[in-house]
Amino acid sequence: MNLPHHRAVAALAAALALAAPAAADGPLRSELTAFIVTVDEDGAEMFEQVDEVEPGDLVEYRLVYTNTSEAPLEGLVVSAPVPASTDLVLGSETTQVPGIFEASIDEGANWGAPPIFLEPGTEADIDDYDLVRWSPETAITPGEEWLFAYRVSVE
Amino acid sequence: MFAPRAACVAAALPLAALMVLRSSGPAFGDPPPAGAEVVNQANVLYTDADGVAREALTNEVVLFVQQVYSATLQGDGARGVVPGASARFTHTLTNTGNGADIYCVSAEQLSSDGGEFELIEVFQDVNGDGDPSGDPVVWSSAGAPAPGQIELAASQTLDLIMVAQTDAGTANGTSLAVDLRVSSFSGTGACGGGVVADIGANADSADGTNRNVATVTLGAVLELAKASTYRQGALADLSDDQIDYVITLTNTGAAPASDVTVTDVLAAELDFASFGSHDGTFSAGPSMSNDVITAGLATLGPGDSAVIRFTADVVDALGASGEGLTIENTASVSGNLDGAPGLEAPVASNTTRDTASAFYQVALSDTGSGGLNGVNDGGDDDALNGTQFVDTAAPGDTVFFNLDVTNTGNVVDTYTLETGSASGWLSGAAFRYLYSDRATPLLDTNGDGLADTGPLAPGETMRFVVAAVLPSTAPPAPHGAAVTVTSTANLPTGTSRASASAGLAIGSAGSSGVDIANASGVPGFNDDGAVNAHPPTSVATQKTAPPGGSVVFDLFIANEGEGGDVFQLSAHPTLAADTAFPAGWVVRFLDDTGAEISSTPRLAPGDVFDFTAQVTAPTSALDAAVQDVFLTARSLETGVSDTKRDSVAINRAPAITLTPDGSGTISACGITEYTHVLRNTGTTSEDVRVRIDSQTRLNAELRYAAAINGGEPGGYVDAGLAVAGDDVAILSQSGWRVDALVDAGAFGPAIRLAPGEEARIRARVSAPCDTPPATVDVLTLSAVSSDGDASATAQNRTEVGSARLEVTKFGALDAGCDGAPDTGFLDAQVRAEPGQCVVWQITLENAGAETVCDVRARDAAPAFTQLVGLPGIVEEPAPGTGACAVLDRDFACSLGNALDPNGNGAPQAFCLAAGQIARVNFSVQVD
Repeated sequence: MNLPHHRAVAALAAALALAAPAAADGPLRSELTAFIVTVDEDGAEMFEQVDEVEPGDLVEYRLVYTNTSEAPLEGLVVSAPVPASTDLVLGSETTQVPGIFEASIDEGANWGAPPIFLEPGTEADIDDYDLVRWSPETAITPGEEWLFAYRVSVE
Repeated sequence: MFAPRAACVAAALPLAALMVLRSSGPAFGDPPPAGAEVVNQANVLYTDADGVAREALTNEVVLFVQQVYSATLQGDGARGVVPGASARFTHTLTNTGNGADIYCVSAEQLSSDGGEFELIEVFQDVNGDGDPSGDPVVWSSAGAPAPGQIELAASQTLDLIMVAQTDAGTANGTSLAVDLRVSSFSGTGACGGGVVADIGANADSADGTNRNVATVTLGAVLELAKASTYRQGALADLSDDQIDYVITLTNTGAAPASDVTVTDVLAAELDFASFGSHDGTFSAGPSMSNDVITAGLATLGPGDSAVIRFTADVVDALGASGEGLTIENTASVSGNLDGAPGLEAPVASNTTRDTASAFYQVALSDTGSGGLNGVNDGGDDDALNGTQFVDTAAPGDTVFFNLDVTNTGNVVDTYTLETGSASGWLSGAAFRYLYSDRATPLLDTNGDGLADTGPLAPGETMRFVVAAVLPSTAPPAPHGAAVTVTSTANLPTGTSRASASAGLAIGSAGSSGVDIANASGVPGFNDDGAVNAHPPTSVATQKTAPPGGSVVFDLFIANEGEGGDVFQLSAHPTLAADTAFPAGWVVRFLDDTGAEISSTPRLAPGDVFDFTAQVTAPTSALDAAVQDVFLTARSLETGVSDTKRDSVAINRAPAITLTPDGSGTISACGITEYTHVLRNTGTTSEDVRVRIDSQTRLNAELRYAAAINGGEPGGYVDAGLAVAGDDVAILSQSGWRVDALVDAGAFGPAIRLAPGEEARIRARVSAPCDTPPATVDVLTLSAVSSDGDASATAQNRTEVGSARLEVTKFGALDAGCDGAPDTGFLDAQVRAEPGQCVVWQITLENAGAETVCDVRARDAAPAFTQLVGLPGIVEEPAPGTGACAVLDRDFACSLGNALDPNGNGAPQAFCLAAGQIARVNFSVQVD
């Protein structure tokens, strides 16, 4: 991906300053990609990996985790934001990994299975959702690859 | 709402409703502007194989928002006009795309109407007063009527005023029509290419076309224009902002209008303030009631005007709930224009549009609560005072500070997060900014190189977490830092950005400590670091192991510090951490599931972790040697460690036993078996072979258990035919298992027994039929290890009684396998094809003079055959109490009756008196 120069420099500076965990660290390799979702004439969905979007686009984020070690890794909790200027598409989450899917409407203070209700009968607005996460029930075994996906619509 | 990408975006998408963007900044939920970035990065928490909690971020994905072109044009118009005068039509053009666009503007008269306008001009109502006077002309029918062009920023709205002049000779009642045409240029590069949607009244079906119809009249024509002036007050909010309105009513017709009423409903964003001076003769008002301004004129003559002036206050809280800052207002007028009874339809003014002042303000505060003392929970361990306070932390900890940022302005804003002014311990800390889940990082959503909050609506509060990774050593207090949130609004150069700060503070550095011991209850263990339970100066536990053997040390680690910690495990032969064990020594750390570990999980203060160290000695270890094992727990976060000392003493003691000795009595032609337990009672693993050392009179063969049947050893096979790799049943502490005979070289196939393991050996002794009574046989067995270190013997004494039990066995072919022999039982050997059966008959006859008891016939299906059905007793002295039992390929039948051969009143079972005969038949099928 060709990033604007200022973003590339900024990203490097942030990594140095914050000492945040890097994608390549440790025995769990992680990768995030984004796809535009469209449907063809027959109604079948098509996916195109992109770095550009338009308002109204449907974007599918895919998170792939691979255990590169020789031992199982337990207790995975995968979390991802609903990026600014996008809205979560409820029910769009997919994975083959048994576990629990939850979302948050208060920046991660509380979690629940969507749709989330502010009170009985009052569902949270779609633009209230700001985080999603998966809590798999099992460990990821050596060499195993897990895929999680969720969709957002660009406002 | 934007059109979906191409024509194939899923139609069911819940697209966000599009709100109108204003120059004051985007409202919450608006589409991102062209060039904006949609940034995403995911996070994962997990526990690695050592039980250490870890996290990992994905790569960052940035999607660049492209421009989409979209616009609306509102709406069709209808007016009366006197001959020779001009009719005005107001149209509203809005750029609903997410970037600037150029629009082509033109007009076209309809050929099917009552005539032509003399002149048509289109003006931009730049000052928004509804009057073309002084506004620039976009397009005119005079000269070459190429489309004029105007540019609108994203979300900008502009009124276009079409002025259409009629000919003085146009007849009363004639209708003239003209279409205003607007198209988008930037999206296509050509006028007429880009679609502009018609909204509101739409007489035709074409996009980008508003139809205006002027009807020539000799009656009254009312024109209503409305102008506004926004006055920003001196205060840094909206409380002293006002808008002055001027409503101008003109009768441009040829006759007076009567019963004229002007109505203006105030916008919800306004509160009426006062009237100014008015012009004209009003029969009622102007007055205001319930936010509605009305004014009445009994008559308004041709060419006459009336002007209403008033002022309204801007609602102070405008924008605080995320609504836009634009204030729109439209007045209307109705009256009797033609003298006939009744009023004509009301005529609306142009719509004024004013934008309230945008204020960028932010607040940042500590939480003032939510913290438990001594717990790293992100909460505030003191009161609401501008500083998020954590009372204590341990070296190497990641300390969490919750903070609340609130958008106290009236427009959506994004705030960058920075930490500075750090002192003490926090001066060496690495800071990260997280969502409230303390896992997902806040991202740089606007590409300025700093993590930010993302867009916050006015009045919205977001709780975020500052995570500070502390160094392993704490300098003197105070330990503080300041977090600053700064608005990212695009303000004019030189304008200060709104910002707010809050403090972070840690009260004191908690102590670190760890203790490792063989038991959790020993003095000094888990005592907050007061006493070292097992100092390494002396051996705490010594265990004995044979060469190649393993011993297990129970171990316990207590986190005696005041912060959570993870401790790495290591073992060395000396106190020095860089020494290695002699070759062959192996130390493994195992958790309670048996999984190998190299560190503890994260232990809270006071937590105890129990595990074991398995120490394996090399097979070459010398007898009586002693190996020290120093076991260390060390924190990589704080450097604190503790070491204890255990040792392993080598004790080589090979030993095997073969028990018990046996004794028994058989008759001539009889067979008996003695079962022996071969057991490794030493400390070393041994490869053992059992053999017949000597036998004085009778015959014997050795057999060993090669299978497990019903949890017990069985499937005894001839030891003389055994080869390496054959099965052998072994009993260990965990129960019976089937192992393989090992190849002990010239020693031959052997049974490998670890210390404590057993095997089963049977000696089968048989007496030839001519063996004289009272013959005594002594069979001596020996068990020897392959290296000769261990051996054992056992003896079986067998006496031949005077009883004489003759046994014969003959077979007969049963080709059809119907259970009936095809011939008599004549042959000791029978030839049969695969699939055919042979019926065997065993005959036992007491040929002596004494009663024989405990008579049993034992046999088995020969190799390559299978038993068919159950063996059956076909002949037995009456009444006959015998029965047969089958175990796998083997079977045994007890025969005869209960008799008292000694006449002492103690009957014995399964006896044949002198001369009695019993027969057993069994059938096998060839594989």
